[in-house]
Amino acid sequence: MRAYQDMVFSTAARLAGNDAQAEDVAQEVFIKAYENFDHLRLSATAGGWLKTVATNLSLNYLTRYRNRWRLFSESETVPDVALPDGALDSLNEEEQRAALEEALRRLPPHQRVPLVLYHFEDMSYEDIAAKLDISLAKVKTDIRRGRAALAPMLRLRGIGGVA
Amino acid sequence: MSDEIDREESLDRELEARLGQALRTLPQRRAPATLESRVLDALARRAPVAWWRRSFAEWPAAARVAFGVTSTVLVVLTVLAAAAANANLGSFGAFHALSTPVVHDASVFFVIARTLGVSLAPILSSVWVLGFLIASAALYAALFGLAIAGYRTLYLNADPEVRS
Repeated sequence: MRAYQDMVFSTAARLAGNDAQAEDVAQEVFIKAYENFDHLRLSATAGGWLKTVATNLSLNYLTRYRNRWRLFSESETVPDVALPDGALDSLNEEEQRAALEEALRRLPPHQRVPLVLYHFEDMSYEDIAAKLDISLAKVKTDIRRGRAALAPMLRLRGIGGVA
Repeated sequence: MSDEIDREESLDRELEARLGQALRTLPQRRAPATLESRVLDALARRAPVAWWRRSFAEWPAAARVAFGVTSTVLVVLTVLAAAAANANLGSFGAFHALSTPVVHDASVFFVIARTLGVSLAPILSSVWVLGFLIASAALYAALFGLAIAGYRTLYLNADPEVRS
């Protein structure tokens, strides 16, 4: 469990955008792992299994609130996730990554979830649309808006090779 | 116009590449220190539950078979006893002579059922009886379905914050 708990928690936290909910999801993931211990003990793909279960359980959790974030998705303005000018340059590399992580967390769910699935889970636009049961056009639009919201963070030194 | 679209797509692709690279440099989040103890506590809470306190589907196979056999035997014995008592009810005195409460109750049921059957047989045709049975089954199934739908709608899909 110790070998995988950070990976499982990270997956859930980036999708849920909330540490308390991510901890609940991670707990559920490891209980399921315990129930399948005989199978996982000898499996070379236990990490992949845990990541998939963490992703699915996080999405299940978010599905409960889907109507809520669908409702706001059209009217919501792009959140201001950037730090004030000048503040970025004063951060060290670790702080800059923390700032990007925080900016990702502050994205609205309808932008953050497809963005995380695309960039962290390497899912295609089509797979994301199928997984979230939304149109392909909406997936592309939401991801593009999410990227635009995070774009100011790329000015940070040491992130993404942008000076 | 076309140049503008091409330029926009090019910027999108560049942003996608840069952001993808930036996100990949993010380290994994550290799981809370409480996670491991929470999981172990949750598993410990499950462990002490004895098998007979879990759902029937989780019982050991031998226990399920034994339960089924015992239940069947008890039902058969009760029905046979009641039928035997009913057959011996030639006189009202014999009826009162029955001392075992279970046999007594079962025999009363048989007497009532037989009396009703004999009385209603000339009145009700087999079509009516069949229709009644089908309607009863349909109503029971509808009620069962309604209960499942209600459970799923009101409990399973309920907001967890409300549920808790």
